[in-house]
Amino acid sequence: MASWKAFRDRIRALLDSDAVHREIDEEMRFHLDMRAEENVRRGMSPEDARREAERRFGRLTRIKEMGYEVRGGGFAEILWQDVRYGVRMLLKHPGFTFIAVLTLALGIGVNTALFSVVNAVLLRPLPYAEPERLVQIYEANAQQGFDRFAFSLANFIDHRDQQTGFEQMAAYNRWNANLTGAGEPERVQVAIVSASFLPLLRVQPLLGRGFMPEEETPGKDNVAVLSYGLWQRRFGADPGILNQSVTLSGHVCTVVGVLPADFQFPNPFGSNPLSEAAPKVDLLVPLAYDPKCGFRGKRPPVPE
Amino acid sequence: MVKQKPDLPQGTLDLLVLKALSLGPMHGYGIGQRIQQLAEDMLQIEEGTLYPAVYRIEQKGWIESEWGVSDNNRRARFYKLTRQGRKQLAVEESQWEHLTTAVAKVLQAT
Repeated sequence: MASWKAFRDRIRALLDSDAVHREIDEEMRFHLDMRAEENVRRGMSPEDARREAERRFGRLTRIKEMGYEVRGGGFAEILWQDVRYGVRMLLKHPGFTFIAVLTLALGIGVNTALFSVVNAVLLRPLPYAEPERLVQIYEANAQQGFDRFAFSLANFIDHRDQQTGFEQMAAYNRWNANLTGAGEPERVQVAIVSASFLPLLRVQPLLGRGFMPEEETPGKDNVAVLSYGLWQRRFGADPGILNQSVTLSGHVCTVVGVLPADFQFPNPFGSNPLSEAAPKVDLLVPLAYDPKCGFRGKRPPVPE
Repeated sequence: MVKQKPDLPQGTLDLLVLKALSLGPMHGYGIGQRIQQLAEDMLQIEEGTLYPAVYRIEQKGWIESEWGVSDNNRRARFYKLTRQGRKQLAVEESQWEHLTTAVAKVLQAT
């Protein structure tokens, strides 16, 4: 292909201009030698033969240069000239330069920002196994005008026990607690989750286990699973952490597991709750439910 | 004084190079020789200008080249017509005929 050959020559001239020059030199020297030999055969002295050959050839240096240019030489030089010319012109017209740079910067910035959102919300799959089978469901409260509202715990349990459309249902809520005990007291982000939460997301704890269904009962819910981050930071990644106690706002809980490092908690208030990770979660505790205190259609009792 | 050996009109050299190579692969010197012989020494060609023309034609893909050995056992770069070049030669020949016929008609006006 014609343009392909030209392109290859151009790259070759750029990378190995000496080789191109050598080839041209050799080819033209061969020509002059052949012509001189021919002239000698016709009876000229070697000096005259050489001179005549050069005269017939024309201006050797100029012709070599032309040949080199045709074969893609000078490409880098021309490119460099163009770059310098461009920079000079930009410096000469600072107003234009400013507008052009601003336009580019805004364009690139807006594109990047939009892409980040689109990537997080639409393109990147949820950070869980089989994300296409996960949905987040809400209660709607038409009277109050809310279309995404938290389930009451009792309603959740009714749905969970009576629905047939889903393989499994899990509930979660958030709680800010004070972590006390060894070291400085600390405000931590706690997620209160049903026992089905980790199995549903197919998350295997790094150490220990998740929650058992029987731990959803008040009195048996004094267990906790640490996030990888908290385990590293506060407990020095202690491999013997299991069965140790942590105190959450006065409740003593036994550590039964540690989450894997890449676990991300869903963000119920994100535009796509299952793909936008929530702000950090430090610990999980089981979502215990006392039927005597539950109100169907009402909010669950606040744990603190 | 009228020149006895006129310079080639622009672009004609390409046609002559293609024609010379249609007779068989040849190195640059040979192409020049062949053209001179066929023209029975009626043309004035600055031999060096052949090379930029040959390189240009090669870049268009009408000819291709490789190093070989000449009759007197020297390394030389040989050119040969590609299939595309053969087609191009036919096109340029018919264009040339058309042009010369037209110019001749004009000049024959009395």
